[in-house]
Amino acid sequence: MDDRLDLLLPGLVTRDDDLETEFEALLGETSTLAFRVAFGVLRHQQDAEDVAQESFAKAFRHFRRLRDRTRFRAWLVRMAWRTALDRQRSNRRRGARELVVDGSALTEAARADGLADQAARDRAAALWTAIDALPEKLRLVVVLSGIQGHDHREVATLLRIPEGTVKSRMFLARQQLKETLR
Amino acid sequence: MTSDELDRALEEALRVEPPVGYLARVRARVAAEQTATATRYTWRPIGAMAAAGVVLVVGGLLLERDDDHGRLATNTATVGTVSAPGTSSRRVVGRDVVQVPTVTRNRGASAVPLERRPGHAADDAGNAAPNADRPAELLISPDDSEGLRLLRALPEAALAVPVIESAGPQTPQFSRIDVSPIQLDPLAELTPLTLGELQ
Repeated sequence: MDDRLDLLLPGLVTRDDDLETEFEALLGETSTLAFRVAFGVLRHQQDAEDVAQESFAKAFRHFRRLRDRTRFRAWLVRMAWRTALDRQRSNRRRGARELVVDGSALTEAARADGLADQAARDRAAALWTAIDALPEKLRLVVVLSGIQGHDHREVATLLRIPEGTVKSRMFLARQQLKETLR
Repeated sequence: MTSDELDRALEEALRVEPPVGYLARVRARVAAEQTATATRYTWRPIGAMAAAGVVLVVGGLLLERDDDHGRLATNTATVGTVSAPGTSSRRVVGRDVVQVPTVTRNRGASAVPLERRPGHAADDAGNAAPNADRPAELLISPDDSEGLRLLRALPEAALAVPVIESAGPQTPQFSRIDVSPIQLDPLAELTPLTLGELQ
C-alpha cells in the first residue's frame, strides 16, 4: 500500500517525510527551551513537562503553516508560554495544586552551585514570589533572559519586539525585583 | 541586591534540567500526534464522500418531488377548447413556461412551471404576444371540457336527457321538535351612584 502511494504521490509523500525530519531536528534543538519556559511559569516539573509536550504536539499540528522555519523557536516559546499560563489559570481555578517552589528542581539547581541549604531555598522562593508579582510583559522578558543566558537581542528575536523595548522592560523588571527583595 | 546578584539568582533559578526521559516522552507524544493526524486525514475524504452521497440522494428526491408538482400544475393548466361533438380538438397551446412562485403549507416559496395562456395580450415586459388578436380561451380541465361538449350537443342532436331516479331507500321521516326560546332579563341600569359604589 505504501509503495503504491509512493508511486502515485511521490511529491506529497516526500514532502511529508521532509516535514517530519525537519520537525524532529527542531524538536531536538528546542526541547529544553520549551521545558524551561513552562517551568518559568509553573515551577512544577511534571506540569512543565506536560505543557512542553502539549506545545510540541500543537507545533506539530500546525507546522505546515509555519512558512519561515527560522521563526520556530520564537513560535514555540510563545506557544509554551501561553499554554503554561492557561495551565496555571486552570490550576488556580481548581485550587488542587498550590503554586509552590518545586523542591526537587530547586535542590538540583542549588546542588550544582553548592547552595543546597535552607537559606538558598528561601532566597529562591522569595525570588519567585517577586517574579510572580511582575506584570506579564516584564515577567516574560525576565524569564527568557534568565534561560540559557539569552542576551537582549535574542530575547527581542524570540518575542519579535525591538531590542530597546527588551532593555527598557528588563530595567523596569530589575527595579521592581530589587524593591521587592530588599 | 545588585543587578549582577539578581541576574545570577535568576539564572540559577531557571537552570532547571528536564527530568530523565523527557525527550523520549516528547517524541512519543509527537508520534502519537502524527498517527492521530494521519487517521484524521484518512477519514476526511471518506466523510466528504459520504456527505456528498447524502446530498446527492436528498437532492434527487427533492428534484423528483418538484417534477411531480410541475406535472400536476401542467395538467391543470392544459388549455382546452369547447367544440361540437365528433370534432374533439382538445389541444395544448402555448408552451411558454413561466416561473410562478407559489406558497404551500409545508414548503416555502417554490417555483412551479405553469403554461402561459395564448390569449395573453402582452407579457411581463409589455411586449405584445404574437397571437394577441385571438380570443381568450377557457382554461378548464379535460373532464370539464368533455362535460361542456356534451351539454352543447344536447339541443343540436335533440337527445333526451335520461332522468335518473333515486334508487335509494325511502325519504327519512322528520319529526317536529319544539324548542322553547331562551329569555334573557334586561340588564339593570346602573346609576352614577351605583357605579361609584361598585368602584
